[in-house]
Amino acid sequence: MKYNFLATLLLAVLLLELILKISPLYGALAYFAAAAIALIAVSRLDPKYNNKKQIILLVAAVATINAASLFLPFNLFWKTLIAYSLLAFVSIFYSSVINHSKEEIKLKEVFWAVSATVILGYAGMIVIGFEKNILLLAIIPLIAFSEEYFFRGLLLNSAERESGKETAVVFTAIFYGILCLGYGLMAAFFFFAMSLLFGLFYTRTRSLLFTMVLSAIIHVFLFAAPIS
Amino acid sequence: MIIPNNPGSLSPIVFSVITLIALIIYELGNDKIKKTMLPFVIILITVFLIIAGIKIYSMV
Repeated sequence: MKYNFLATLLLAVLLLELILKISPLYGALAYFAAAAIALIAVSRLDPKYNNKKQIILLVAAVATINAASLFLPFNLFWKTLIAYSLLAFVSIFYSSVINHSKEEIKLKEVFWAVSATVILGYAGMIVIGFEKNILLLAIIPLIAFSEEYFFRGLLLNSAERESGKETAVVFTAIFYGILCLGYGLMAAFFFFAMSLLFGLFYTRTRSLLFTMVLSAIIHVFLFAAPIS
Repeated sequence: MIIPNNPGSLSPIVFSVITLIALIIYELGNDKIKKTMLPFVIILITVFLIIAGIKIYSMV
């Protein structure tokens, strides 16, 4: 029963992403319509559903940024810069729900995390093959900050309060994977694996800075490292 | 990458209409709706201003 809510959200986003794949215009309109319905419904929810409310708001925020970026007539660099700046704004706007921890990170965990990230980044470099653009390197800190603050700091913490640690990690990973379906099935699977890994590291260390550094390492592989 | 892998070729007119609808809902809604919609309206207006600025700049 407690998984129904998260599963329904994931199914809705998957459906919207499939419509987007078939027709960008109808996809964008469907995204906006779904976000508007969700917002009006959320504003009527009882305060006892605060976690559910928070999760719906966060999912609707990403959906809105995703759909709005379809209208931007720019290349990948400018689109990424604008979309991630908006994501950073949303993250800071909702930042009160983050569960900060003062625990110290052990050296052993750092070693395993960095090793796994480098291997995954190398695999992603071969599998995805983004256009290599040295300019994108400049916005990697922004990407790492906004993605980790939003997906790990906000969404994972809200989902964890709603239905437990493991479910929250899997939920954020699937959600992030679905959002990346536009880049192909392999890319979606890669981003799912990346999000799963970062979710696991975050729940062990509770350090957003640590996952931000890992995210930056992966994005360096994706954007800047040459394939041959 | 949360942004879709798609060239941004959708009509800005559609986006203007969506922004207007969002502003109307925001304006007519009660306090709860206003509080909920604030970040979303800010996102839409920011993107709208960027698109409008680019269109005006490219017309000159």
